[in-house]
Amino acid sequence: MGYGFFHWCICQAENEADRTDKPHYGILHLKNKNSAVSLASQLEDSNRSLMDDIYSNEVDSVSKILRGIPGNDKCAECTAPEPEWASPNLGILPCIECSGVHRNLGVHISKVRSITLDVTVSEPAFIYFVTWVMRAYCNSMFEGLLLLDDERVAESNVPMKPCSTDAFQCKEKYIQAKSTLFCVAILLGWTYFVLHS
Amino acid sequence: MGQTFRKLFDTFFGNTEMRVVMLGLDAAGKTTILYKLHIGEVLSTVPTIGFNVEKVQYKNVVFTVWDVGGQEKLRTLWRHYFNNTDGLIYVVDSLDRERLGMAKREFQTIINDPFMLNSVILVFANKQDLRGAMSPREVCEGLGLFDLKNRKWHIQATCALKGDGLYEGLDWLSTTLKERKAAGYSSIALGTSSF
Repeated sequence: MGYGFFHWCICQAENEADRTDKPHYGILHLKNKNSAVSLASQLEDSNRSLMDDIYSNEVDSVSKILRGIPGNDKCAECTAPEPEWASPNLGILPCIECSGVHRNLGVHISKVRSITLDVTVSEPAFIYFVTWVMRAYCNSMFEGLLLLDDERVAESNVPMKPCSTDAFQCKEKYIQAKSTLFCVAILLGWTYFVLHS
Repeated sequence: MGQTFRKLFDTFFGNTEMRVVMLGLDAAGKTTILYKLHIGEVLSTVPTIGFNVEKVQYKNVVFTVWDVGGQEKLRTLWRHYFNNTDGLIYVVDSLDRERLGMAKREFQTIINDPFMLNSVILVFANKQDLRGAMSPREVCEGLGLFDLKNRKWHIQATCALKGDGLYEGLDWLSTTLKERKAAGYSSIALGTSSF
């Protein structure tokens, strides 16, 4: 393989308080330790500039801010343009169909909100979203790792990334396969802030 | 003579129609419940923008069920469905402890609306199949059901995916509504909406 592997195994917090406050954790397999570090620093930069944007310019359009983040201009699952839904605890923007699948996973995994119908700047949900929005990067990075590693694709039988015109069932299969692995993205951001705060 | 006989026949064997509005926070499972009742299958649903309406027949009662989207900005539209409503089905995601407070606020707003003062209340504590779901009792306390005075209410643990509890809920609804009609309640409340 040539790359150093490291494994994070963190079980999902069992007690009530943890379950409501913290994201869902699972098992993380990372191919390259360095990629995690460089990603985390990238995330911090983008997060800082984003916070500046919000507090100094008083931006009125939430969807504009969120879609402005690289990787958020299209659905995180099926690449449909202009996603209008969000999963604040995962930091991704899915389209309406994929948000349907996310809702089926349950609120302990993905809390789906609408950018246009739910989130407003003054609400805690929005602040929470922004605090964790750096995970948006994690989605693409994690998918990259997931799909490059042929052995694991074959082993875990992860379906190919769907496109916007694919059938609902196709998207559902992909998202469900990915859902347990979503925690990887969350864990990355979380660990970084714990280590550097 | 014939008409009198017909009326008598309908009283015992005819279908009664009832208008029911199904509300609740987003992702509570309203649309899934509606279609589970309507066609008996679990459909792949997407968030409801607007409303769905279907007729559901159970025993000899035809329920016209209005399922309205639960996103925050859509909740201000709920009051347009209140007039002429016999019953309210309020759906709660039993796993979503975080938003139970919000569910309570919305619930109290609905039932205190002048148009809803006479409607009976059925609460579905949905998603009971998931681990860590709140018990119906917890949902009751969370919504403040025990503090209600002079209201007919009932809570039912449900799992929309399996269909558990749905028909038990409808059973209660039809029995209660028939009792009310027999007692001579009018479904149209007097007064104007507070909004």
